[in-house]
Amino acid sequence: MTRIAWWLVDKLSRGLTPDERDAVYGDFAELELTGEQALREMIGLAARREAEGWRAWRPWIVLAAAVIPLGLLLGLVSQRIVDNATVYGWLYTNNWSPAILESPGPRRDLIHFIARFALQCAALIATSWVGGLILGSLVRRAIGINVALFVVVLLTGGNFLRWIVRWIVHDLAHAPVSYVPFATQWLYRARENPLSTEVFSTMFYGVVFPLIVPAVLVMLPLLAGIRRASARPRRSSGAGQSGVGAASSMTGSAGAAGAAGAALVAAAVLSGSIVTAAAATAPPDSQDYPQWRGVNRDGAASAFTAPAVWPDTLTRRWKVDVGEGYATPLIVGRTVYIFTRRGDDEVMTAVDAATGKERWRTGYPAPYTPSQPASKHGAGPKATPLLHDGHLYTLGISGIVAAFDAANGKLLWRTPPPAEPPFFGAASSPLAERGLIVVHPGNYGPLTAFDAKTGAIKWTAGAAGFFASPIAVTLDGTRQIVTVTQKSVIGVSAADGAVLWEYPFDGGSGGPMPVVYGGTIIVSGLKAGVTAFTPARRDGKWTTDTAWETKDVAMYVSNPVVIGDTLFGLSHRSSGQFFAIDARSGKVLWLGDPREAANTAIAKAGDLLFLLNDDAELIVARGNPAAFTPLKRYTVADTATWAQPAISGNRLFIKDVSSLTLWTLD
Amino acid sequence: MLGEFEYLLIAAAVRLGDEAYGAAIRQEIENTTKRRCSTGSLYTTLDRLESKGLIKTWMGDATPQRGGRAKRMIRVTPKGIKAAAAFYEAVTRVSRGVSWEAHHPGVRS
Repeated sequence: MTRIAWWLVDKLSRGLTPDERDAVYGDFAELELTGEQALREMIGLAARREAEGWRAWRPWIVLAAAVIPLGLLLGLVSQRIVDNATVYGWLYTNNWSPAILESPGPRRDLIHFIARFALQCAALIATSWVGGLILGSLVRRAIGINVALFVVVLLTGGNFLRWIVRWIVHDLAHAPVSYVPFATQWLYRARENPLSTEVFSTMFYGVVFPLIVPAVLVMLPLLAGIRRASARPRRSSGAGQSGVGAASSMTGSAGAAGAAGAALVAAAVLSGSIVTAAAATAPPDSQDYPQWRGVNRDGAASAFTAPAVWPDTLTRRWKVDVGEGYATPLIVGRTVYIFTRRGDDEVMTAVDAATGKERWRTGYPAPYTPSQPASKHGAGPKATPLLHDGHLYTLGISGIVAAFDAANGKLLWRTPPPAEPPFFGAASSPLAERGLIVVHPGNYGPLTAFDAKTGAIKWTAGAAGFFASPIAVTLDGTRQIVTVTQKSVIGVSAADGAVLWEYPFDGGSGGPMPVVYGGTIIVSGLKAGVTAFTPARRDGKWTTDTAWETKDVAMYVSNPVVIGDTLFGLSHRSSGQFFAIDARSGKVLWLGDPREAANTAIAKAGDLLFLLNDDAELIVARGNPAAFTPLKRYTVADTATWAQPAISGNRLFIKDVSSLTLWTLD
Repeated sequence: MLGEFEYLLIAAAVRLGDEAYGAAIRQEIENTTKRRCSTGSLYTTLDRLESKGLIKTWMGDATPQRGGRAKRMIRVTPKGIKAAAAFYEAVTRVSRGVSWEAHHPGVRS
């Protein structure tokens, strides 16, 4: 019973923001509540949250202007589709004969019926999805009751409307119902025809089918639309760390804009049954690529769908000069952000994702001369920016941390350069966690948390960092930031920067960021091979047991990916060699040919690997634990490609020495 | 004008000072008023007070007793202090000259 109660608590808590959930769960733990008590508390919280939402005007407006009209409209349309499909379906199934297909006339009627039914279903699905998007965008907190009321209106509104119209026109005005405009189309139901009695008297056609159609064609798309709207990031002008509760009730301008766009699409769908018009809404946010190594910092592409057949060549959509550097371009909505060097300045440029046209450019002076060993890589920034809450955060090559407004490029704050610049250049990409921007700034400084809004330092932790970027993970139930310093791997409490655990490791010999596999952390360095260890809390103390290690391969600055139970990467040995390691045991499963590349930027999508070598060759390979399995090879630039590609939908944004190119898979 | 529970919550937060967070405020209210304070009423009231600018909240430390979970810390703003003082003053003023013992059931006036 207790397990079921906690399971239900978990389900109910999903309506809360992560911070709220953290706070409420922490209170439950501190108050030592049982599962049943926690469930009672959580139900109370959910109910009050829902009721609280109705204190505002917005849910009432949405109820009157959207829920009731939309429910009525979709109810009437779905009933009409159900009735027609029922009658025709019954006729065809009960009178089926091969002659229907053999004779041109009946065959044409059948095709016409199927095509019309399919088109109507698609239009209903599209309209319902867009309706859900509108509802979800307009009202977030009181959405539960609005959805419940929508179901009631959907299932009963049509009949209620018919009854009202007939009562007014027929009983009060003593006029034929057909006098009402559109009455014959919308108020008449085929099931009321005495000739159809036999059809609708069966359980399936009379009860089950009329419930299946609104459930599948209306409710499921509607809920999907609401979910899509809820998943949209809310743009706030720097809510930062404060305003935990207030932030949860915010409705961002992005949502409103999405709703407006969606409304246009809904009108198009309704007026012309343009089924595919729903795809014309703003690009789905799942295609966003807002930080180093993607949404989860694990090397995954955003919303990539593999083509049925890999084309022989990629299509180049545009190529623009943006300046030098190895930062990965970020994609959010219709904008690409790229952080580069132009002369003595480090600049942030926003370009239109569709055309490559520059929207704005901004920057700050950051003179830097690379040291001799790193001179072939130039003075461009190596760290990838972060887009979080409408702001862009960067770490320049000389160690300057800066924040920009993503809307117009306005410089919001920046740190001074260190007294002595980092010898090989700074390369750690910033991370956002709980209103903090966390990175190794300056001259390979320790892990440092900046207030996202002001740039004030909140805490520092551990020893000097190097190239590796931090990640935020939950290990043994504790949210923490894991990073590689020059002498160890550390897990740090995001709340106060306290080092929870430390694992000795030579992090000064390379740059791959930590990779998470289950509860295991995998790290690598030029001289250190590959090591996996498992941080765990026992009796209130953290331990770090080594899970496995291998010296057979070693990574320098190429970051590996995990697909299933296999770690795929590029070993620095033998002048670059692809490898696969069993992430459970550390056993090397295969090694590719030597002299593959000095560096490979690795990304994944499902079971596919994208391997962008520094010589501009992009290899698409199957993530096969048994053997290296290349599927296709493309040349994507004229100069060296050290930057990680940003893969979003069917788009590949490739940064070479000084250009940014959009390639598409068509 | 504050509601009664809003006032209790602000008063508890002021009493707790730097230690004011969800569970601590809840216990403070329950101990002093001997009335149950639910998570729902606590957090929805916190949201309301924050939206009115009467308190400020942020995510604070995690402790082992909380299973490594962070606290929602609370600080009463000057506007919140002013609103609570006005509420207290109004209650004090309206209660002036009223003897509740005299009106207590079972006591003849």
